[in-house]
Amino acid sequence: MSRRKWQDYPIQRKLMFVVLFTSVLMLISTVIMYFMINSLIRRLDTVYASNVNMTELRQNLDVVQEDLYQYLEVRDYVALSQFYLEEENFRTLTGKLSNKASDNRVMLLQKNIRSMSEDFLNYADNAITAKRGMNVEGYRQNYEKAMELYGFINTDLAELNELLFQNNARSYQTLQQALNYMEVASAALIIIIMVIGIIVVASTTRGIVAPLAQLSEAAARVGAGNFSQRIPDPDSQDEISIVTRAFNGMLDSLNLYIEKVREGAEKEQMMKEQELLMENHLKEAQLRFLQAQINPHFLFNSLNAGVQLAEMEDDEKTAVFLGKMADFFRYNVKKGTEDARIAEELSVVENYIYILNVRFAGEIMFSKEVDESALNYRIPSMILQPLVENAVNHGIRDMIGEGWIRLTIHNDPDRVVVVVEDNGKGMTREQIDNIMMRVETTHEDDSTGIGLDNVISRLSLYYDDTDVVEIVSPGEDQGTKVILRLPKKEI
Amino acid sequence: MRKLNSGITNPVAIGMVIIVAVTLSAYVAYHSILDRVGVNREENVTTYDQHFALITDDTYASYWNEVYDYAQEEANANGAYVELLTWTPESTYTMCDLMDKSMACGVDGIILVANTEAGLEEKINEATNRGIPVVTLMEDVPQSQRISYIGINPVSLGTEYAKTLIDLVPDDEEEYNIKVLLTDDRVDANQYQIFTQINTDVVNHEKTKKRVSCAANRVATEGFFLADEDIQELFRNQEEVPEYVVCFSTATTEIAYQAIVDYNLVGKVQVVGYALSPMIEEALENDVVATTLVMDTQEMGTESVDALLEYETTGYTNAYYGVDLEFMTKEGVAHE
Repeated sequence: MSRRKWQDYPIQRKLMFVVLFTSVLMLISTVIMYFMINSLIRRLDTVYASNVNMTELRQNLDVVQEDLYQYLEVRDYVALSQFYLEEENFRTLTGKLSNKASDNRVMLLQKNIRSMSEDFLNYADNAITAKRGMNVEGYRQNYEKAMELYGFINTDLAELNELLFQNNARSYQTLQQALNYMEVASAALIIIIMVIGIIVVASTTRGIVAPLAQLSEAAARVGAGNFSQRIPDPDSQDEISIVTRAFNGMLDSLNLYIEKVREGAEKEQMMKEQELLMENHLKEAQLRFLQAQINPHFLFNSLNAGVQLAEMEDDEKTAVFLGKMADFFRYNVKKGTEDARIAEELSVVENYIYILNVRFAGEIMFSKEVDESALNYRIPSMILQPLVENAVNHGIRDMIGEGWIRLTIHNDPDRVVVVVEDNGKGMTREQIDNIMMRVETTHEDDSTGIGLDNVISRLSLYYDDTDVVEIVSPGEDQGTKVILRLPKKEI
Repeated sequence: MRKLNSGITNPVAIGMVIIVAVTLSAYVAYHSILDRVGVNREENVTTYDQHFALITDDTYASYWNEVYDYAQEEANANGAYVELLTWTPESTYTMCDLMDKSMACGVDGIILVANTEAGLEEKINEATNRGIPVVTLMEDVPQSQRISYIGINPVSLGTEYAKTLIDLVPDDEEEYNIKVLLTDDRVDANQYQIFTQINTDVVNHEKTKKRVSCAANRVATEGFFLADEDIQELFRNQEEVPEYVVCFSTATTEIAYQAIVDYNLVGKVQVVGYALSPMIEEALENDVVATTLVMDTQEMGTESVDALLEYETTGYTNAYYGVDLEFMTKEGVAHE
């Protein structure tokens, strides 16, 4: 209980205690020293007091004797009244002397002096009475007796005074010796008190400063980035303990915050990953969607035309035509979601050109220059045919003069370069930019439904590279060249 | 920190303890210093209910200190204190003055070793009248109102002296002289009675009859150096030098011894001495003192106090207490 109390004291009170304690200690030491030295000095002052008393007694006895003599000789009443006065004093003084027989010479002498003094005063009184009664013989005898006793008393007083003086001289020496000891004792006391004071002040201030040092060390470690430490919670309630607890609380908050931040970062990371995944899915969806955009009307119209032709005329050409058509759409349906070999894509293009030539009576001049070594690389399906279709529809269809389309496939060291070139209307820069930025374009109903923008988008998503496609056109009516630089992907 | 706190459980309490401890230590140190140097040392004082005075003539004998010590011992054991008042020739006061002083001091009893001073009888009577009992020791004042005498019966002592002297005198036909030195030659004094008894016995004894004479010589002791002069005078005339000298005090024995040596009378004169002092022991060794009277000092001291105490208690006491005596020779001293 008491321990808790001290620990709970505010620092101010603890410091006050230290100051008060040392002050009280100093005060007490001063008082003790004052008491010790002063009491000895007082004793020293009173050492010879007994001699003074004896001298006073002796002087008083002399005065009594002189007054007695004066009265008896000349009947001096002034002396008589003085005698009575001094007699009283003398009785008082002798009354203070010991009246016990003792083996101590001083006490024995006192007893003798006291007893003799009473006799002396009795004889003196008797002498005065006799003088008053005109009894000459009586007062003489009494006076003689009184004087005899006066002599005895004086002798004993002298001896007593001498004895007292010897005793007092011894006491004086003793006291002086004691005073010397006291000086040493006082010095020792001061040193002891100083040591105690230093110990108390040091230990108390250490009790105050040590937690502060601990706190500052902890703060330095925190400054260096060590947040995991913790100062043991103090039991006390003083200011430093409050600061220590606050420090611990701050550390807790800091750790909590750091934990939250880490959790947030992890969450964000996860969200990013999810977002990417979603984006992937989206892209996949877009891909599927774009692939699904292929207009089935063309398929059905063409097939209907072929079927009708075959049914009505039983023609071989029609059969070839329908065969090509069938290959074309088979491929289209089959490879809707899969990759294809370049050879397969080339075959589709050839089928398409055949179909168009059947449709448009051989108007389309199609030539190809193919590096056979590049034919087995894998690319997304339905890429080449839309390019050729685009060259037909937007390049050479409505042109004046003979239009041609040329397909070139090169096997470059790191990429397969596919170029679809026509000599049709050409494109403006703006048109090229619009296509490259994949501005939505409308598709005609009889196209295969896969426009250039779709091809570009799919290639970009597939290869995650926008530089796969390049469109070059020198200007209007100067033809268009679509160049694909496809990274090599083995089957 | 915990450790520190446990070290200083409660500095306030510890501080109080330290302050109290320092104060107490200082108090103890202060008093131990005073005790050590003796400032606080109380004299071992004993007080007594009764106060007796022993008044003695220092010239009479050397053993009074012994007697006084025994008297004091006995008195202390019975709640009384004995104060010694000694008269010497150089004293300012007379024996009578010492009696007066003792009375004025209100003593409860006086042990007096009387001398030849006039007026002592009156002082004894005065004291007795004042209710202060007086006992006389060794030297009696028979006519006074003293309550008791402690000593030796002079007649018996005279007989003992005579026996000793008769033994000393050779059994031949020669004549011999015995001188008895009296410090108190009053007719009723002890010494005179002793002398008378010696004379009677020697004169009447078969061995010494008609050839040994016994005479007394007064030796003055009242003034300075008078005794020495008187004794020197005795030996100055070589024709009349006695063969035996009897002394009744230590001082006269020592003076006689010195005179015999000075006058080259060793072997010619023999002394019957009184008491034992270093010088008398030496005289015994040198065969100047043939024998010396030694009394039981313990008995003297104890009985004188007992007489006073008995009187104080019962109102009476024996008028006479005997004291053992012995004549000691050289052999006896050596044996002791």
